[in-house]
Amino acid sequence: MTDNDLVRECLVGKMESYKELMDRYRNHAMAIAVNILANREDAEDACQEAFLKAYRNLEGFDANRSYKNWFYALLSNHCLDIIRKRARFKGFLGRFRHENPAAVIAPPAPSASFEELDFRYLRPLKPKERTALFLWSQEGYSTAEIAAVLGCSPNTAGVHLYRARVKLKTLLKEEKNARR
Amino acid sequence: MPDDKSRVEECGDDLATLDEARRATISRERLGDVKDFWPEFVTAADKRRSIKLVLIGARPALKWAMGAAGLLVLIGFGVFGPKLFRYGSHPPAPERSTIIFRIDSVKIDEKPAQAFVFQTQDQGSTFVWVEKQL
Repeated sequence: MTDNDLVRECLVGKMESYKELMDRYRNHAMAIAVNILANREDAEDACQEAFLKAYRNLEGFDANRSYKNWFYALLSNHCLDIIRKRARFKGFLGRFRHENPAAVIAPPAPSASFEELDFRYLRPLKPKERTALFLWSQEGYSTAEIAAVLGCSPNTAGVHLYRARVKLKTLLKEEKNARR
Repeated sequence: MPDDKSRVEECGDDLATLDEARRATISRERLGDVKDFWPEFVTAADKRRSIKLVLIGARPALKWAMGAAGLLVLIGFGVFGPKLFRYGSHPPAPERSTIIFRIDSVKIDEKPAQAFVFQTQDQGSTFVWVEKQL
């Protein structure tokens, strides 16, 4: 049964079909969210919310499109929103500190010593660059397909991918030089 | 002047290869066991559906009553809101408390998190924001 058949069944109220879709895509979803957010716990939250968001918006899904790409676009937008909100809060925090020098701000608690996944190459990249790099390297997407997920032109998607590859190469070279 | 082929090679040296990109990104295999999102999804979807059903199933009179109540709140807010929220009408600020609110450590899901404590200077209020460590 194709993804679009399952979507049609969901739309007539067969909720089990959505479970099937979730089972098909939960690993893909986690991989893309982890690569964009560079944090496993945040990625789990983002996936949970994105699956619910997708379910609520199934009526707006165009059956002529690929469900996978539609869901990827929704999920990556959701992850980018999370990053934007985080940046807004950081901005607010900076302004608050500046305007209220007397305010007491607790020092950050020590960071977790254990990290199961290695994000050292992803974190220096911008979120859209990480998305493009992941889709290209792990999913075999072309720039046109990356563009469909990111909601930009293929040229812009190509620029995101190009910058990601340049930055990654620089990091790898630096690491190699440091080891010498 | 370098020919096109050598320029392409030169540029290629500055770009990570597909293999390097694969190793730098997190693949599905490296994620290991992924959480089952279904149980939480069902709870959230059911909650939303029950709210929707209550609203759809409400009697017309109840719907009108809810609509009218909402309108009254809006009118009330329009009339009294500006008085309530007018700048400069706050009572004089109390003397700044010498008590300092402090958090030594915070955890979310049993993992160290980042805590920010805000103390306003006028009302003596304290806000605490806690977020996951990045």
